[in-house]
Amino acid sequence: MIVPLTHLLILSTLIFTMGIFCLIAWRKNIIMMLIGIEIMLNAVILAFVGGAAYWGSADGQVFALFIIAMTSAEVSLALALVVYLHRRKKSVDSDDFSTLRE
Amino acid sequence: MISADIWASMPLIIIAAGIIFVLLLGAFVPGRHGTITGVILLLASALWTLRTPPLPVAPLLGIAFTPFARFFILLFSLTALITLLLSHDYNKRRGIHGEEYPATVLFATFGMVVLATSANLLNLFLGLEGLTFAFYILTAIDRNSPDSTEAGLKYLLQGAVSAALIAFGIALLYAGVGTLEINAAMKSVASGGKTVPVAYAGWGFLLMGLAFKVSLVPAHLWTPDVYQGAPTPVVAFLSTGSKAAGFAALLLLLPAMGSGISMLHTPLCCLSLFSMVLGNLAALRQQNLKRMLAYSSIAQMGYLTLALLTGIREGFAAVILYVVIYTAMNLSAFGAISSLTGENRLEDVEDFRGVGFSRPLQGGVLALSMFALAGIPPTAGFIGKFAIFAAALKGNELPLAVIGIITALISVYYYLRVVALLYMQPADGEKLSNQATVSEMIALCATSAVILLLGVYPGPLLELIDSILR
Amino acid sequence: MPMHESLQRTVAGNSSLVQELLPLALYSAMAVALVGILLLAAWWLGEKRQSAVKSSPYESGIRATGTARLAYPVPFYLIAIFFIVFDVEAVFIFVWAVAWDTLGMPGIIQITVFIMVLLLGLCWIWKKGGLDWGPSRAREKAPLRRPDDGFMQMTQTVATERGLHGGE
Repeated sequence: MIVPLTHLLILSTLIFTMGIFCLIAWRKNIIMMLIGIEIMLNAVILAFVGGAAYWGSADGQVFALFIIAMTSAEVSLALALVVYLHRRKKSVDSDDFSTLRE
Repeated sequence: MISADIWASMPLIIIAAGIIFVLLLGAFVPGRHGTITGVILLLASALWTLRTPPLPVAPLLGIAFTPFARFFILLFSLTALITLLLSHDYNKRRGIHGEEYPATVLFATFGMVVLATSANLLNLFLGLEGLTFAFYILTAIDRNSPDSTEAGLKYLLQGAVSAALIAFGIALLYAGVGTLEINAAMKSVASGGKTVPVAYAGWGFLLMGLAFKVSLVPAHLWTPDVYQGAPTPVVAFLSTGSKAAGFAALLLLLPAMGSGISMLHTPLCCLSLFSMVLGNLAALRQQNLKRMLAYSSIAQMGYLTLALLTGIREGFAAVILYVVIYTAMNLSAFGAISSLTGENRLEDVEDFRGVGFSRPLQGGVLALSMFALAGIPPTAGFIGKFAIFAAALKGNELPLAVIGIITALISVYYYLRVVALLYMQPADGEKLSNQATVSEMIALCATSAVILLLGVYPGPLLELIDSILR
Repeated sequence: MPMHESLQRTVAGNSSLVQELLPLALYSAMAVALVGILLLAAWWLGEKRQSAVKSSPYESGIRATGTARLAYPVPFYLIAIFFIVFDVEAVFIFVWAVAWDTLGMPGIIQITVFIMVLLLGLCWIWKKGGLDWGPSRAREKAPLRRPDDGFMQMTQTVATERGLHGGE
């Protein structure tokens, strides 16, 4: 392997952190939060593929494929909910969805 | 694919085929037969599990039909069955139509069963995510109530973050040890080696994600909102099935580590301490009964973690025992609330004033479950709490156990406040509560019987738990 | 593989490092210079006076009205969501297809089960009316509200029900 495993893990950790920051910085917009989550999951896929290349086993690649499928299901579910809520409130601002509180 | 594989995965196949069958039946033959079909299917899977002896690991599928898996398949099937019985008439009253509801309940059960049988981190992850997906949908399924959709969105956004954390944790574990087999991976984490620090970092992420699934304190923020907004039978299932599944995942991972669990001791201690203290204190000042029960369930998860972090066999046995008892207690508490909910939504604690006289069955079941949650003998809640604190003392966790006992004493106040409102004051017929239907009566009587039976005669269950941990 | 070898040499040998990286540096410099020259030229040659007419989207064209952020009809989203789900499942079929001969009969059985489950899901969506373009079955069955006055209002009602006017 040309690229050492450590570098890959550092890169994927960085991307994962960026995803978390995207999530925190754009807490107002639900779509941007979903994008942040997507970035986090892509970092996970990178870590899995790197691990699979390092250990020479296909397990990590299979896991990466399943994460892709899971992500698509998750995004479609989230978008369906967002569309439904948008029809109700005409907004994707997360502050508008705060009727449930103490 | 050999026949042993099919044999081992039969409960999975029954439930999976059942989901498709319920969906297609609902689409082609309109009507409300999803519930009865679902009940029959869950009974079939439970019976199959009872009749089939444990089988060795099926390597091709990454599942293992171990005694542990059999026990949890049975628990999950029965929990889902009670949920279906509770929700049939509730859904009619609240206008939730369609075959999607029973199919999604079955899908959540499928996820739980996959998780319980998993011998592989991939299956564990898919099971956990499958059941959480189903709960996103179930939480948001009441389209007549804006609260339900909002709760669903909040659960989904936070749940997706926890899914990413769990996946990243597993990725780092895999990068550290090079295998996804649960037992092999956990053994090499515990044994130590060059790449093991990465694996420990992975365990950190994994623990954070799982803490969300079982709502331990730093990751508990979704719990009160979701409990308040979601339809009540769904909350009954969510607070029992998904929590039990989370602890099943932890019980698959932690015992396999052997002595390596000591590395996770400090984080688990923090999770347990904060959950017990904050959960109980926050529950004291809740006016909404469902929110109060949400904080109470956070506290109960803290007790479970306390038994888990001892790392001794008695601790794991206490976790399984308390999971079973907690399932019965919460099913009957939320079952009683959902069965009282008719046209009016009973929400505030004050709404339940005098219900014990006007609705003897549901009021009685609610009072019994409150006694059990408070841990008062002769209910099962006492046995469960006793087992947990005994295990904690045996595992040398004296400070945490003392704090746990003190918080448990504080919690008695808010549980008994509900009982006092139910019985001590006369009924004023302002809010009309609902009469229990036949299926609700069956479900409530079954869970109450379990609470009382385990309270006075826990011997056989203790022996069973002892045998599955061997 | 030659590319890998050259990369390994790059990492290994320090003396050849400059030689190896020179084309890259030259290429980067050229790219930056080209983009810079184009931007400078646009700035230098371009018109510098600003007015309301000049900054409108279509200069001397039709004046734009309203916002560009229209709500699309919901069926677009529905179809897109179904597409995402069914599209990504192709990943597993591709994985099976590249190794179908080694996987043999068990592989064929498993992928058949997988595709059957997907097809049954599609059947369910179809039967439930998820693929219908226009008002849902439930709305079609409901008695249509007929406005009393005028053709115009009626067409508007139909258009709204068919989801042509925005999100609702």
